[in-house]
Amino acid sequence: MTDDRTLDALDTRARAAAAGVRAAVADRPVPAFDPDLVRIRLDEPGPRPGRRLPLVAVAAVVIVVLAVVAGTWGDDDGAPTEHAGPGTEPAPTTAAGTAVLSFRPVLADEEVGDETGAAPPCAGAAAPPGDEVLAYRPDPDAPSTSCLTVGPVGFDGTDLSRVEARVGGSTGDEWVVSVSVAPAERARANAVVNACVDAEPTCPTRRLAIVVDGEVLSAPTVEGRDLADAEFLIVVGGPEGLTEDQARQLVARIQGR
Amino acid sequence: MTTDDRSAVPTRPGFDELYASDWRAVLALAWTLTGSWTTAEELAQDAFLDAYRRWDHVGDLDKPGAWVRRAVANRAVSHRRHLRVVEVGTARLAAEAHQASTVAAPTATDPTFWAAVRALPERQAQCVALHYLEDMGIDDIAVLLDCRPSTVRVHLSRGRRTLARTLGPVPEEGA
Repeated sequence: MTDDRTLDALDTRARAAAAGVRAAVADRPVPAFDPDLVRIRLDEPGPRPGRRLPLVAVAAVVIVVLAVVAGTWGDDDGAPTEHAGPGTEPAPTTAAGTAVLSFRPVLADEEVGDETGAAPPCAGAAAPPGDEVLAYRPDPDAPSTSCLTVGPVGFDGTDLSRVEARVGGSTGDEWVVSVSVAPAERARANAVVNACVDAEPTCPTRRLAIVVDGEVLSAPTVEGRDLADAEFLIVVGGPEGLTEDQARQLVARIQGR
Repeated sequence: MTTDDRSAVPTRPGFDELYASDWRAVLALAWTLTGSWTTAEELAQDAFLDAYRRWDHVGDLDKPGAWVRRAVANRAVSHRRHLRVVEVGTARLAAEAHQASTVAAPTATDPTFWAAVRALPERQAQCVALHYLEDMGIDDIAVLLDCRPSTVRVHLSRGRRTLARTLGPVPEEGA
């Protein structure tokens, strides 16, 4: 059935394929090795048993999607969460109770001027059912606050198959939170994302708010279509970005444990 | 097992060098056995992490790189087993998503070929991938996979015959 010529042809093809793989690998950056990488999979807890990491990774490219705005979290100046020391404890399953992460289209953004973040100035604002008005301070060092009207939850933490904190991002050395949408939820998540790309009525501002426990973490403009097909990164912050602790905390909060 | 006291820099002598020299080869192996860069990177990271944590042992080995390759090869087949269980439900969606995707995979990698490799029985797939990808001989593969050379020979032979059958005759070019 399989004579030598066929096997020779197979070998030829295989060697070419192997060379192609080696070339493809050579083009990929070597990620920094970090033994403390926080890798949390959302397959065990949560309401959807059986969920696991991206099963059929469709697009392998890491898309830096949510390159965002100025620091939502304070760094340096009077940051409440300072490192206790250099040897960070392997964060146990600390972190604040159950946090709910959701991605919601931004319907409107109204700047309300100088308010301290303490008293949410937007609480009384009216919104149609399903929508919500949330305070947002794009820059913690600046006094300006916005009231974001956000639409219904597009997709949330339970739709994610994987969340992890790691070093990466466009500079390669900033802490980011990487997120993958579970395969079964990708079509739905993409519909939400693409509505923003196209500035459809459900997302006229082209922005998607990342909301954790009612707090708008960030509200970046969505620039890529079908983002849910690939891993994407939550890159928060201005020049400083996230600290390692913040990235870990965010993962823990998203994870809800 | 708690993480030990660590300074910012890993203190395993030789580990960084191994990571730098072998990362890409390990990633390539993981990709051929999973077909996904995302998964491959994850498995490769995990395999190196294992090596790092057991560096007292692994670092003393004659070929620590082989240890990492075996770790990643085994992780890849475990991943695949799980995949089979769940992929039925996601296949349709994935197909749709794939059509919608505009990201073009580099075709020089010949994904069809590697998909056929992944369709082989696990051990055959591992042997074939190592053989072609790293140009490994039977003895090296046997050491790496911790089995007898004669076993590797059988795996390779069967794997190649199956591949030749499933992939069909390739038009000869320039040889």
